[in-house]
Amino acid sequence: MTIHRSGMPDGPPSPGHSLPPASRWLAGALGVGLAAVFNLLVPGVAQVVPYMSFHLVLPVVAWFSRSLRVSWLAVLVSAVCGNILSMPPFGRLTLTSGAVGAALAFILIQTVFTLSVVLLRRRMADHELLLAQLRTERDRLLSLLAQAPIALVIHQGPDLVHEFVSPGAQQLAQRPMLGRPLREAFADLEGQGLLQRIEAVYRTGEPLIVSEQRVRLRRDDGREEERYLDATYTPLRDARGEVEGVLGCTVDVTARVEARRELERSEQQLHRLSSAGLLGIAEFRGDRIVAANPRLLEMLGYPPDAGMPEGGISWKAMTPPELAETDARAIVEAETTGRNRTFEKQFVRRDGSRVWILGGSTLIDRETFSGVAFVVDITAQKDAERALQEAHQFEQRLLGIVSHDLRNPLASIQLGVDLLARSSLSEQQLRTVTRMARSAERMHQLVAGLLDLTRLRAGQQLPVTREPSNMHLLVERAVEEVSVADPGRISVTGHGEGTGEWDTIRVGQALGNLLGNALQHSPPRSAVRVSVEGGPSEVHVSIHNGGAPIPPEQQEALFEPFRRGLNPGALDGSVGLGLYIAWHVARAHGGTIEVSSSAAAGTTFRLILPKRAPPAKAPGPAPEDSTRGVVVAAGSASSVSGVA
Amino acid sequence: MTHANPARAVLVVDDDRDLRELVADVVEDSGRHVFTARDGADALQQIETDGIPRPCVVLLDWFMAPMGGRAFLEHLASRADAAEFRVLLLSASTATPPVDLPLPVRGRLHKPFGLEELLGALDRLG
Repeated sequence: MTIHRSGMPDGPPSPGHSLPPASRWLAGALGVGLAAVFNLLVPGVAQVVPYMSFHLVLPVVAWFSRSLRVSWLAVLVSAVCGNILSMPPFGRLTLTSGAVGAALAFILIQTVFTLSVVLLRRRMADHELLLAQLRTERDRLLSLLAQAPIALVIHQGPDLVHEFVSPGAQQLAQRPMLGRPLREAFADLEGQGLLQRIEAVYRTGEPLIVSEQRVRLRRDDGREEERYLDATYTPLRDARGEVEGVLGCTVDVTARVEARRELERSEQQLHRLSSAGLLGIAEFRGDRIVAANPRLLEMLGYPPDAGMPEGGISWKAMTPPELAETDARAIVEAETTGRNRTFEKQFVRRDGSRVWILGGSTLIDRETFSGVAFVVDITAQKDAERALQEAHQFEQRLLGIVSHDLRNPLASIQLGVDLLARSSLSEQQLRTVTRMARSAERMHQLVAGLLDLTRLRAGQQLPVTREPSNMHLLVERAVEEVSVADPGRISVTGHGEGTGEWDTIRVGQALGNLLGNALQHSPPRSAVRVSVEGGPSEVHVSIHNGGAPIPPEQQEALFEPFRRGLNPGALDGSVGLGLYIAWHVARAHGGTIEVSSSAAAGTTFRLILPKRAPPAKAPGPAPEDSTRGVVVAAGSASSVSGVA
Repeated sequence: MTHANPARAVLVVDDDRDLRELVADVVEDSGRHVFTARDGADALQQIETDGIPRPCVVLLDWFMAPMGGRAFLEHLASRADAAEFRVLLLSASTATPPVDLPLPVRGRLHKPFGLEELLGALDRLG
């Protein structure tokens, strides 16, 4: 704050306390004019005492104008005016009557007097200004103290009575303090050491600085509150240099201390995590890892205890070229969102071996692309996954080759048996040839089933070629075929319209499998009843047998591959693919197979097929509830394709 | 048994010796003139040098080594007398038939096939 002092004549006017220059001159002119008019109007009195009215007016001019220059000029003009007005034609006095001396005397007296008035007036104005400034300063200081987070107190005397308490101090201490001695106001600090140290400041005159001093304050409601304070206690001395009081200045740093402790705790946790050896932690900048924990160094093929190599490690250089594009996408993601969700990637170690990692990262500074990444070594899991995949591929290939290559010798056997059957044979030879033919046919079915399994396990659907057909005829044909081996057991009833479009070979296969299953899993010579119902959009083929019921817990698994039902010793020549393939035939047609089985009602398999291909894209609906066939279908893998 | 054209030539191309010879026996029994080849290259060489009569029915296995069915068909298609050969595929797979064949095939027999099936297919080819 600058204090304006008007020490120079006609210096800059002090704001609010003096007149602008034009007004000063106006005041001077007005004063002198008034005195001159008075002299003219009241000549009798004025001429006897020529300068009287000017003597009266000039001090007033000086008081108001506060200008030396105006006052000077007013004095001179007044002297001239006084003389002129006192002489003819206006007055009666002459030069001889000692007017010159009177004029000089007037000038001298008024100069001294007027100047004194101006200086006095200026001194008074300065004083007022100083007072006003002091008041402003004080107000500012008080508002500063009231708003500042600093707690200020002034203790006075040996008892350290609170003489001044800032609002900040009041807020911190939350108790009446003003006019009370320190120990009385802060009885709850007894025994915590701080009170003695403040008293020592008064006794010794040595200032005290404490940092993060822990104090326990008792609040009005009786609970104790822990606070941390930064404080300085400075002795206040009187004019003789004796300590008369203590100025205390305190800042509550509890929040800062707690935040730092929290940070230290998380740093410790991070350190423990980092040294636990599970997680690799990297700090990166641009395409370089600038800091890494021992576990990460180990993962990347560096000696874990040797520390970070000079200049860091380039993660980009360690990334295999085929993953560069994936990396570029991850970088874009980090730059956009500030972080990377979990990602898998591979690094090439120094020795050329590769390590698979699973990690995530967070950017701290986008400008420099710096941040932190956490990674776990998942090489073992990846190896296991690959081994599993290879095993699956191998299984698929094996199944494909076995089922395919079996067909050539099978074709020779079948053709040879046919050729033999045409020649003239004894009855026994014919029986043998017939058995061989049946075995060859069974083997053919097995190979076909294996091929279908291969295809289904590779995630493909059974191919379906629809052609117009009649379900009544298809069932009749299928019954005929299975009855050759086990005649007279199957009875068929049918009603409703049976026409539709299906793959007749596949549907025949499914019906054959279901009928074979029914014959096989019911007592010998017991009846198997088949009913065909043609509806408006679906046909239902129900195949019922009176065999032992299928326990509910086994029903769900009925349509899985390699199931042999309740009769594991049955010599059906099957490997348990019949129901599995039948279900997939139904599914490929957009249909399904339902099972119901109980001791009282026997077992019924119901094949439900839509009459036409669904309008939407090919694959049919998946089973919806547990009464429908549940199939554990193949996962993804290589497919066996081609033709022989 | 009567056949439409008993003098017709048939070339059996299959790398499975038993099947090839058995098929040849059956075809020969039906009164046709049979030639056998153990793969596509062998068949091509016989067509080139041995004067197999035309027209000729080719019973062609698909997966053979060293020259398979497709390569054989490609070579056959490039011959001027390609139209004289009627090809019947003997396939061991039930998968979708091969597409984009260089030469149209007249039919397909799925292995294993029976005697009647084989003779019926040959009869249909005339």
